[in-house]
Amino acid sequence: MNILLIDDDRDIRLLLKMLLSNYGHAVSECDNAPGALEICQLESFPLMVLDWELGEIDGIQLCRQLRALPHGDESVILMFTGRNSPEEIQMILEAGANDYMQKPADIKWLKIRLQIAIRQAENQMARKQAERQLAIARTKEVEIGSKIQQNLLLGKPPLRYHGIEIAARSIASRKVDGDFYDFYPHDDACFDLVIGDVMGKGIPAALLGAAIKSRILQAMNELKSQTRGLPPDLSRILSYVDAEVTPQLIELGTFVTLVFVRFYLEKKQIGMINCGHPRTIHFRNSEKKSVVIPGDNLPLGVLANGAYSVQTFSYGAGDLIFFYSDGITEARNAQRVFFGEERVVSFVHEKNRLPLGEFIDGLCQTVEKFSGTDALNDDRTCVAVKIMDSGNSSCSDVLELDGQRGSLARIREFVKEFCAAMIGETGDLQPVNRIVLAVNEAASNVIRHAYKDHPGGPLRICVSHQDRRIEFLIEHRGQPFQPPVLETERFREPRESGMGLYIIDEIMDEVEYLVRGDGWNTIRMVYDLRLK
Amino acid sequence: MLLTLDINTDYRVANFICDELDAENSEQFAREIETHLLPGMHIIFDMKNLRFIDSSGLGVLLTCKRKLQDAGGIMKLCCLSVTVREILELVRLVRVFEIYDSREAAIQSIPDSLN
Repeated sequence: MNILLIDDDRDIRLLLKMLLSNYGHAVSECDNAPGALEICQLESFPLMVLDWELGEIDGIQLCRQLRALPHGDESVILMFTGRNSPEEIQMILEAGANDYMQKPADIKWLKIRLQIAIRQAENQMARKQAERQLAIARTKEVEIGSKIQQNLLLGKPPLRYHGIEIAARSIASRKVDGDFYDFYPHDDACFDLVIGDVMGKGIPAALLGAAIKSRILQAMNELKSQTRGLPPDLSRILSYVDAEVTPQLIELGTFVTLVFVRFYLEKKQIGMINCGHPRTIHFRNSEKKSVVIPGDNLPLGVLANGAYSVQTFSYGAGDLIFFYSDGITEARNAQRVFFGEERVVSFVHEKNRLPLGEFIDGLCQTVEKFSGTDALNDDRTCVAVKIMDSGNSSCSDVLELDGQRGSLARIREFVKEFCAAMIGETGDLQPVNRIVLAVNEAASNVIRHAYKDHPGGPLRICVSHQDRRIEFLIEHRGQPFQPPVLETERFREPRESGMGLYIIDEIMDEVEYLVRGDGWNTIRMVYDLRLK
Repeated sequence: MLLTLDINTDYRVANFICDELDAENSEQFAREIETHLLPGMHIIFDMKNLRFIDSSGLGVLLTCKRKLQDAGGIMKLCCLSVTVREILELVRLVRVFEIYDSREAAIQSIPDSLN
């Protein structure tokens, strides 16, 4: 190791250097305090031997200054001095030195004390190295956890349920926790969603969350084979999962809260099993009232072979059903007051007319403002389901054609006709041109890039509207792509390429690029006339 | 054919015959105009017939502008429809091109020695 000797006595420095070099260490010397401080700002020394008497700045002051340097606590400092009163030894220790040796020293004792100091420094180095590796491992754990969360814990809301809009968001705390949600479309009239929270933190909780999701899917597939493909009962699914996971959860000493929900779109009903999760909030548009739906099932992992009761309730046009994790309600402010369910209910009641993305962002910002910090103690997870108003009846149309350049004119005509018919004679037709351009750009990108290697592949343009929101789904079987993050600044300079994505982003209110598992890829775009 | 050309000694007016310029025909447009991108040339694009242009068409226009500029020439646009002008405004290209309301105004803007 590197050792620094600071002593104004040349003979002492020579002696110590000889002894330390014999042990195989590299030794640097300095005869004054300012010089030593300068050296230590450029290089670190696991062991330093200081003299007390150094001139204007003595060894005591130097020791304090060395300890004040970044990483100054990582060195072993040994004071080598003739002073030996208890008060002086106390000063040495209070200045931050680890030990002292008394001058003059018998050479044998000097060797022993130096070896002790060297051993101390080696142990210190090993401990610091272990701490650094632990910090790296922890950072890596968080990165892995974040990837687990994004890839395994958070599902994508289904797209094509007319009259229903779904938004979901999970904001991870500094450490990855066990919040998860997923969606299970059964058919055009029925889908399930689950939102859950595993007790505990870090990768173990995240892995358990992923396991629970996987078990739910396994249960559905297994039970569907018995129900000839019909969606199995919610309680049967959960009992199946319970039988699989509760023994392990009990053994691990953990539990999982969740809400398991089924939407029956034709009957406009919801079936729900709440297992210890924060209560669901339902804004009923017809009554202009927000109600809290209680849950009366125990979390998974509390009791084996639990029975699960399903609650059923109806919904109507304009309703909002809101599910969330306790990271929202248990956020605390500086006075240690919880954000609480009541505040969430108030927010739902006041802000339910917002576009869902803004609604969820708004709630998260409100919680952050309340807590006075953006540091999270727990994940904050929300799933919001909006039932569209029936103000304008939904309608839809589909155009199927080959993905080649000659199809673009037909696509523009199709979009123009649909939008013009939807907006109607009394409406403002100006948006139509912008919408046509954006859809043209998206289709053009698919034709030129997604189908670059095999032109003419199938292209499907689906358009629907509900409550003055027009949704376009451009579906293809070409190469999927994720667009780069747009830099608005670059369009201050003229560019010969790259304008298409910018145009789409500028015109459309929502844009998503989705890869489905069945070979079809989708560009989803929404133009919201309510926002214009 | 997408364009007809009115050829003068030092300037040309390119008249769009097609009413849409998109990914299907923008490459053909680029080929048709290429031979007219001569050193020192002034080209006026008369866009009165053009009802739609997308990013592919805009990209070709920008390429023409760059090539002409590099060769000491100038490019102007005239008679833009409301739709085409809105598209240029959307992608912030209205201040990149010289745009005139009429063909005559575009021609008159050419220096006298060339007009």
